[in-house]
Amino acid sequence: MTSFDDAMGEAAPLEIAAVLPETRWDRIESLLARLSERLNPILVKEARQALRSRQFITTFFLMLSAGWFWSILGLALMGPAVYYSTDGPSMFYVYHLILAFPLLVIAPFAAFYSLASERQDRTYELVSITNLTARQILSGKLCGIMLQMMIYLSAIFPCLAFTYLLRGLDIFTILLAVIYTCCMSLGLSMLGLLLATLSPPRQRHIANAVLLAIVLLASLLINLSWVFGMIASAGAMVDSPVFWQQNLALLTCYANAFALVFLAARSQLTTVCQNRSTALRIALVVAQLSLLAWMAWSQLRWGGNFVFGFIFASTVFWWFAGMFLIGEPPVLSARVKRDLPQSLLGRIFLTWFTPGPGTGYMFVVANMVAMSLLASLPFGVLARNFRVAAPVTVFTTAAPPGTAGANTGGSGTLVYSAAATTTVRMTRVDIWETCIIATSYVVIYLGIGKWIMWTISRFGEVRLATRVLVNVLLVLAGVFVPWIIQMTDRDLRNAGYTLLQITNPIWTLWECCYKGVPIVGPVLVWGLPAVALVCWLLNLSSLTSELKQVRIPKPPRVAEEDAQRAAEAAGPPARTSPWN
Amino acid sequence: MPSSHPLIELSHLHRNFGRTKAVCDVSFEVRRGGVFGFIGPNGAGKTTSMRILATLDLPTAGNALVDGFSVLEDPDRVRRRLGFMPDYFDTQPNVLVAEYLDFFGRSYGLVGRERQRALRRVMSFTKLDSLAEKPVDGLSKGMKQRLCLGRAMIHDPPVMILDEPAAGLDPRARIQLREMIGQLAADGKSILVSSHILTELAEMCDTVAIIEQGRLLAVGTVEEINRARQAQRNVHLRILGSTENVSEWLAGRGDVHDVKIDGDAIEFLHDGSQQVEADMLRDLVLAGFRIVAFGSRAKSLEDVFMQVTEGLVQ
Repeated sequence: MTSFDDAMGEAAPLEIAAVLPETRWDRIESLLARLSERLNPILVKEARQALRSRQFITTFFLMLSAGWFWSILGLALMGPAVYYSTDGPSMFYVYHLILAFPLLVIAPFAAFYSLASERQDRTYELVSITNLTARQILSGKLCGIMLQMMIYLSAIFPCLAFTYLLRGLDIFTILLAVIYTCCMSLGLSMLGLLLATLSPPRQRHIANAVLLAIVLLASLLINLSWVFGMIASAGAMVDSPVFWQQNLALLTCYANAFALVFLAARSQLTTVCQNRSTALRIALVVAQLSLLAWMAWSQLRWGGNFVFGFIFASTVFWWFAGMFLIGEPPVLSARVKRDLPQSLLGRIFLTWFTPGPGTGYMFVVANMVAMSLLASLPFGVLARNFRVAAPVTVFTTAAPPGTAGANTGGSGTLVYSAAATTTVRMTRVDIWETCIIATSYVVIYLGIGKWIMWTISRFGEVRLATRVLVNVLLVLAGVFVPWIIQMTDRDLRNAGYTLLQITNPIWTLWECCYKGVPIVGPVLVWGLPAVALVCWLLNLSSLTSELKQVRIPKPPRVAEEDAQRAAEAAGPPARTSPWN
Repeated sequence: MPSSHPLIELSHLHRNFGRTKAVCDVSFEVRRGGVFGFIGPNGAGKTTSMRILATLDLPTAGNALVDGFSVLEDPDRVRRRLGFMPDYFDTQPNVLVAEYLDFFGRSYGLVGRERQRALRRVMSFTKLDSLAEKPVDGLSKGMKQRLCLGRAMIHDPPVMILDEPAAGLDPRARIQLREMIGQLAADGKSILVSSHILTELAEMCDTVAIIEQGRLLAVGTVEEINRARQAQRNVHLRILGSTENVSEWLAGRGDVHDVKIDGDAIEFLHDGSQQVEADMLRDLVLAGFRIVAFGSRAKSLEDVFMQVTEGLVQ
């Protein structure tokens, strides 16, 4: 018998006494204890730790006090009018402010600080070497924040319900405002956690904290203006189907963004040997597809120039994603190699989802090409469906894209009339050419960025900040160098878009999307793809080494343990007869 | 059934921080149930090596295996088998001792009664039962060390890595900690322990490794290292009469060095074994010297450490 067993033997009678349920309350407690076994350990820790913290207690009591104070003050100001006037909205504005500040500023910052401080003082190290996965740690932290949100909400919810009794607000609008705020709070908390993972361990996180604080305050203002606008419209927005369609679109974007941020944070916390990229790449494709679906739906439903917005958004999206993908380490860990696709079809279609800068680059290029095809080809079909001959779209430069005016029809031309000064004719060719130009820019800038990062990687690890810095500086150089040259030249200063701006993707794409392909179009359409092709070919050599990597077998010790686990999971052999 | 491979295996481990080689080509093994002492001056690379073993850092080259699993490829499997007690204590505000251990029990996947048993076992072993409801922040250094040890062993791992576990403890707490480590070894755990208190390591470890400037200088039992270094024994004797004659007599022998005379006492270093020393004593008596006291001792771990290392830092 070991010393452990000795110690256990002494404690055993106590344990038996403790688990025997006697009364109803004991049974309930026992049930709750069993349920708590299924909870995320981080949630249990956060619930114990955070709810006892001075920050939480202070915030809660301040909220409670503020709610009560405003209730009394508001009632005093209303006086006898409380019986007949519709003062619900005016009371709600302040209640919502009392709720929104802790939910949108304090809770997300607490999420950030919780993880960042743990990483700084090395508490996180001890958690990271337990059996908990990065996903469990993050979801536990998020659940902890949700718990705090619920408690904050419980403090102010009676006040919100009170505004309903004061008339002027329907319960649905109140609920919607609360749901928006909670969703926003959760998203911001997730962003806070991501920023916390971006701070190097054992180092201070002041820059990230300042950045987050700015984002949180901006979000608070956005939330207040959105909710107050909704209240001011007196529920009219809610009755409109467009409102719900917009909400659904917003929800899709929110879910995609949330998933991407969660997976990015998870990949930051996952050990280097594990696959930190594939899940993110899948999420990127899903986000792109949902964006495409909304573009197609909007185009069918509303017509207009959604397709150009989609091209612009997709270009920014894939450039941003590519910025991180092309900086991944070129050598796959043995752990990742164990799961590489090995069939022919698997290697053809799934290799682009495996980590690596070469596959990352190709993944982005392939997605940009696919986006271009999906954006340009269906739009042509769409034009035929509407029996509209090319040129298909006419809209004003002054009108906000996709929203201005009404379809007046007439001789196969869609005319969007608004308070416009000039009208520009957009053709199907414009769409194709814009797609080609956008794809070329992504291929060129990421291709050059990848080459720079490959050079840096020869001297050391390419950190996340380096990836961002290199790519952003590259684009900024491409944007500002020709712009400064043009602005300093007396003749070119007022010439508008010129060929000098060929390296400026923002101006070029803006011109293409909102004014049509510029007059220097042929140079852009043939020159940029040619340069893009060269960049792509130059980057192929690094890709070949990544493509040569093949699946390796598990180490014998791992195979041995897996077999042992599988045997344990299978249980004892099944009985084949009553005598067996 | 226990596997044949060692529980801890470091193979040509390197770790560079910029140009600094924190760990350079370190290789050793720790057998099952053994207590392995890892000694070296500050900045020698002990903590870095231990952090690599605990999957908190990655080697620049080489590999480290725990129960046959690589820290590079299968850190998750390594973690299940490992209890790590670092040389710092994590900050845990607003947490009680029992809650702290309960959290780590949950994190290691212990559920229900299994976790309750583990908690009781650990608290009883580390004698923290009476402090279960105390806040972690309010514990003394010694109690925190115990709690840290309890956390490391909550999931009953076969391998334990203890980095400077006795640092900052009072003598009583040190003795108690040494006893605990002894008990853990008796329970069949493989323990890798680093410490600056060499006398304590010598008492609890069956094997030691001496590291300096990231390089492993010696591995083995203290006797083995001593032998490998052609280690000498300290011999001291007291005589009646003139010490000069004895000194001359000793100088005539080839296996005696550094003869020092202090009053009626003589101390010198001797290359031979205890058998040779016995013969020397007989010869001294036969030569007519009147010996009052004659004694010798093997070099201590401290002596070996001082002999092997040069006190270099990087």
